[in-house]
Amino acid sequence: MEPLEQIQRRWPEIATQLASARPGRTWGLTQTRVPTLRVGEINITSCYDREREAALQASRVPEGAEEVWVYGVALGDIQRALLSRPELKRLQVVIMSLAVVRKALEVTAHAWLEDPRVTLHHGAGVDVHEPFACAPASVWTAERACQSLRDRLLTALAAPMIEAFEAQQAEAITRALAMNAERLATDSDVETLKGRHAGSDCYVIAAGPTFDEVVEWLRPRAAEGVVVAVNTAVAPLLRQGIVPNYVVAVDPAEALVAHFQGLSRPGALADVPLVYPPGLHPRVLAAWPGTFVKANLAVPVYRELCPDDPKGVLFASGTVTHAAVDLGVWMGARRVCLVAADFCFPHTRSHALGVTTSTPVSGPKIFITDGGGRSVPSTLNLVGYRDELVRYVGRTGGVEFVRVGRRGAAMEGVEFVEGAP
Amino acid sequence: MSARLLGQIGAAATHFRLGEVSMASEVMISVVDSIQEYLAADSDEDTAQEFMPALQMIVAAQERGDFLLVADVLEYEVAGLVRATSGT
Repeated sequence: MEPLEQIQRRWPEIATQLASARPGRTWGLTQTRVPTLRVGEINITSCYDREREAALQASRVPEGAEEVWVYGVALGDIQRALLSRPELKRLQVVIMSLAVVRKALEVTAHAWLEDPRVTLHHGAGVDVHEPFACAPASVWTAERACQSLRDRLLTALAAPMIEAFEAQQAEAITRALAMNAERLATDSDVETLKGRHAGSDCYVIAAGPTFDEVVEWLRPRAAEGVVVAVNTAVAPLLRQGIVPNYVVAVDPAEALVAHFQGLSRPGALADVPLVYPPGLHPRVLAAWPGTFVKANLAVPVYRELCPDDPKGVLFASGTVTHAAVDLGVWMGARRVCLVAADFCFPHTRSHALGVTTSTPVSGPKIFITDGGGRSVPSTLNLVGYRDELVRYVGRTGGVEFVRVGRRGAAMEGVEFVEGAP
Repeated sequence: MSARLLGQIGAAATHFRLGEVSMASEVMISVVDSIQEYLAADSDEDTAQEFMPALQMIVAAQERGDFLLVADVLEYEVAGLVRATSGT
């Protein structure tokens, strides 16, 4: 039986979805030792040894597993490898792109579809289940409806690296805590800022690539509202003659010091508080030309190392932007406007022009949609930070969240300010 | 040197094939360093020329996110060249 007929017989709903899938990319079979499907600019499997590759990908699943999830259909090689295990009872196969699967069904046989242990799913609304194997190129070419699943899968795959990074950060924070002890005993607590700007319009300035497009819009408004800048935005703001009311830095890396060096008008910051967690690098604190307010962060390492002091706790889940937004809410803002919080690389740059760490973007990227529905490169980290912020906005009542910088990543629940860039 | 390089190539290709792109990219930094070291230690200028097409292919594939092709070229082209030129 033809693969599509098989799907029609066993999963008619998916057959209907497949029939209406529109291939929006270029397709073809590679002219290689082992032909494979090429989707847009990438190969969907190895073009040298598909069987060996599939055996490696299937090896992620422990021997003896009775129920296994496979994310991405590819050319069916992983399914075949797993179905050869007699102990396997159920194989849940998840489609990441209907259009890619439709082509994959055309170019090779898919006998696995006949196996009674197989259930086929469409990835929209499906979660990450362990144990799983994945066909990575099928995950990278996920259609829009499956991008949330794609991001969760990629996060699961990066978990060992994330854990190693967190362990490294915990060490740096422990060292900094000891060196900052004297200052921490006397600096004021973010607790004292609670409700300080009740009912205000707060502008949270990140230094994403759209900064340069929105700065003219921001200028007159910044003078009226409360401006909270993340550490990377200090230099570009000062260069534009805008002095923030508060600056937030959270990353324990010493490299942050670069954002406070060579500022165009450091004297303008003399009365501006730097809101910082106890583990900020001492050299970064030493480089700040203004005043200081300590703040705790709602992350495991601070809960463990300094649960009671500082008293005020800000939300942070990977990026300083979270803490800056939460500071605005903490101080009682009626409306928080995100400025250049892009979470993507709209001009193939990492930051606004003039930010010390601004570099052309290279290395692995994933594609997401921007505020105007266009495809834009980003990274897994940035997408994760964006999603955490969306969840924060969703659970924070009584505050209106808006944004400017339409080339930034799309964010559910945060509307763009009308008429703003 | 060639054994270490072959080990790094295998590790990078495995990470790419498992979809662990960030880990693969970390390992790729060492792969690139080791290839440069390997070619610098070889007095035969033709060796570097032999590696060039495969290395260019890797750079282009990485740039467009074609990571399974990167894994293929590493394992089936570059590793082959390392074995052939080192006599391993």
